[in-house]
Amino acid sequence: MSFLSVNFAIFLAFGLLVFHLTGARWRPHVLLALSYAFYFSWGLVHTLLLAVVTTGVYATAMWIEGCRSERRKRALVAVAAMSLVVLLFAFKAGQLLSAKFTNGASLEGLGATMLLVMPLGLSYYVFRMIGYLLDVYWEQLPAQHNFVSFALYGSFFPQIVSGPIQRAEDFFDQLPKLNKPTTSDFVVGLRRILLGLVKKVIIADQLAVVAAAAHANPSGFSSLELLFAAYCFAFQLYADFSGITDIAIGIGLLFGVKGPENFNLPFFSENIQIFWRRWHMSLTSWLTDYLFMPLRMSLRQLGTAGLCLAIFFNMVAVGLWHGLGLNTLAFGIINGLYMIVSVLTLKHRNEFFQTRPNLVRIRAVAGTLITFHLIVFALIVFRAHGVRSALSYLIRLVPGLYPTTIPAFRFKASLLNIDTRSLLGIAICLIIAEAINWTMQQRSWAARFGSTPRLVRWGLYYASIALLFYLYKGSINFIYAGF
Amino acid sequence: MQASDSTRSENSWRQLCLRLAVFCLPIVLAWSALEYWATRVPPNDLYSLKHERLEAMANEVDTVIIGASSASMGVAPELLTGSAVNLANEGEDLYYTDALATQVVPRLPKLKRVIIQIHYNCLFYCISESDTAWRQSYYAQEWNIPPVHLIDWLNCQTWSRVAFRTPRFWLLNAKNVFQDWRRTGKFTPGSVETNRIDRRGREVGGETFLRRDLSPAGVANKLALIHRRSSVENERDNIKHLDHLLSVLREHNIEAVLVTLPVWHTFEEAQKADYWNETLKVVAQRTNNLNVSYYSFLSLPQFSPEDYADANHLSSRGAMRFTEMLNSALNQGKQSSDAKRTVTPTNSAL
Repeated sequence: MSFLSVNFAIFLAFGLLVFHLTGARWRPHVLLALSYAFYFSWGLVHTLLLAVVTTGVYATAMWIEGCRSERRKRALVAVAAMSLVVLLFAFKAGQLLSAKFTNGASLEGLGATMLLVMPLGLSYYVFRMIGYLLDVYWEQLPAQHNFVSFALYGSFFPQIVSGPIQRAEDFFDQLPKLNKPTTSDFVVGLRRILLGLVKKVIIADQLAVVAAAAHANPSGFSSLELLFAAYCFAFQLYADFSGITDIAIGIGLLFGVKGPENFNLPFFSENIQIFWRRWHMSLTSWLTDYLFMPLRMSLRQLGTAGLCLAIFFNMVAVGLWHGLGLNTLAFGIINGLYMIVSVLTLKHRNEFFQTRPNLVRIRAVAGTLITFHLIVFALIVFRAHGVRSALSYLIRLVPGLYPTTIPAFRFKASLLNIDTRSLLGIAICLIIAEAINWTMQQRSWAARFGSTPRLVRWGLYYASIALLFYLYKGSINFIYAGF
Repeated sequence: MQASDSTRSENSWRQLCLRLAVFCLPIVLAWSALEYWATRVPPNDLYSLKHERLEAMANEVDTVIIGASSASMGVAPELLTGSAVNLANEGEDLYYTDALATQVVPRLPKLKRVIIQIHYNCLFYCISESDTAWRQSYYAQEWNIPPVHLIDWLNCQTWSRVAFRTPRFWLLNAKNVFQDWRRTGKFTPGSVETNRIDRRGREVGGETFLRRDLSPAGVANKLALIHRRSSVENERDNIKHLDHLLSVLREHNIEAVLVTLPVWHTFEEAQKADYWNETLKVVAQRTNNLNVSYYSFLSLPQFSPEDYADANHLSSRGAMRFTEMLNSALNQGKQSSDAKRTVTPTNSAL
């Protein structure tokens, strides 16, 4: 059951009705039942796996908490965390193998092949579980004794498909709010859902055809068209992922649970470090706390080299989190190198610009443009079907580097399966969506929107819904639901 | 104080619910209007077009072809003696073949013969258990055939035409109809994919949308997909459906002809022997006990790659050649004896 289906809309409406009609005491139970019903719609085997992992982690955390021996505690947390990592990587490897050897002719029946399919949202709930275990081990959080609350944390349906990765403490703190959700949260939640749907259906899905065409056959396009397609993919990915995050946060708010933000205008970042603090924030902050910091501490005697190694491994982990392919590894390595260069030169750059205040504005604009293009370049590798096709794409991106009869600066949008009118519409929607993202952070603007006449607000909502109806092409998956 | 807080909260929820209801009303009305439109205008997909063809010929049809995609593409009804129509559908399993035949047989007064396709995984394939489960909605909406499992009714695509084909589909459909109406002054349904079905219901142009990879590796990939959609657990139910279908035909005194269509030799060689032997065993039992004839054209060495759209689907040329062979085999069978024939699963029908 995709978030983008009528089935899900009916499921959500039913769930909200039951949730709000249920007495406060039973609301977590209702939410847990809804979460498992939602997950069950993707398959029984994977639902059982989720239940087993949840029960295992719950018991282990209790065990860790009750354990007096530090050594045993460490062994317990290490075994549990490693088991979860192995589970995650086993499925990722299975996914890779099943994609490579699609024939699997000995496998019979859909049930058998399901075992090789990555369980929905596995990367997200495994990270949540590991984070929780480490928090309990570091005594930053007491083990959750209420099994329903813990199981709900592991399976909370708005977040299980593609995050955001909410910290256990933050989630458990909000559970008492289930008793008294507010109407304002509810309205904000509905608005977020609508914004997410607009980003997904009107921006991401319309742009998807462009990147698909260019990556399917880079040799058929000019350098300019390939560059344009690379920009389109960056915006597609952003709209797709931030769209599903908006929907997840919005649905959470309907039940009184606020999820963490995942994006903060990332394409306006002045350098790569800021970019990674604003892109998929819940993953990067998770990795910072649970991977980078421990690595940094253990490598501190190596000085700058240790810092570089910690950064590098952290970014490689970001890449591999997306899959075990060579291109995701390359994506991680490229970003690791970006980060190392950025960290090592930041001090010198700051000193340089401090002595030249008249260049500060130019730095802001140029830094943003350069960072954006660095990310676009890395995303070409990320999107490609393999390293070889990424190289083929990148070579053709530079005019004159590869012999071709296609003029380097030819631009025919129709070849990329899109027309200029649609492009204009998408660009306008993208600007509006970014403006909305910006205003959401400015309380005064948010309040101003709330006080505009209802006719204007409802007109805007209806126009968005009409556009969604018109452009929705069926149940298309979210890119980040695959991880 | 607490009581007044809770009253205030209750009031604000009540107001919100009221506002939401008012807000949703136009959306619900628009959706309902589209849903109504969808019941009035045929969607012109393969399923509805086949239905349309059958209705148009209901009073003259004496032969019906049923089965899956290879029969849909591979049997050309116009080359069969009499008046035939092809009702086979892509990805159809024996549950739907049975249900479809059971529904149409009583409505066709001149029906004498039903040609039922027997293919490699027909005993092991079940739509509702496979990744093609979405096809069930076509049968539910076009033929009022319920899905196998009751839980599938929870999927609104089973009963909502707009949810199944998206609002965009019906809006574009309405736009086409409106444009046609302005141009011709007549109310005609918008046309989609009409060129994929011929006058007698055969699906045409398989060679343009199927990938003709007849190499062992290509066939291995294709068979892998077929195996993923198959399970021995489905065999018992499928045999039950086949037997029910044969009994319905017997009740109506209609000849049942089981037919296996040709496949490219690499496909035949890579088939699982136990699957196919089991299928042949079940077919042989029916032909012996139930007075049913069986014709196997599984391997036709005289067919060339141009006769195939892919390893187990015939091209238009192949369909013509094959149907002529089938027709002559059926006519020979009729001439030789009025008793039902069983042809061993080789090329002996030729």
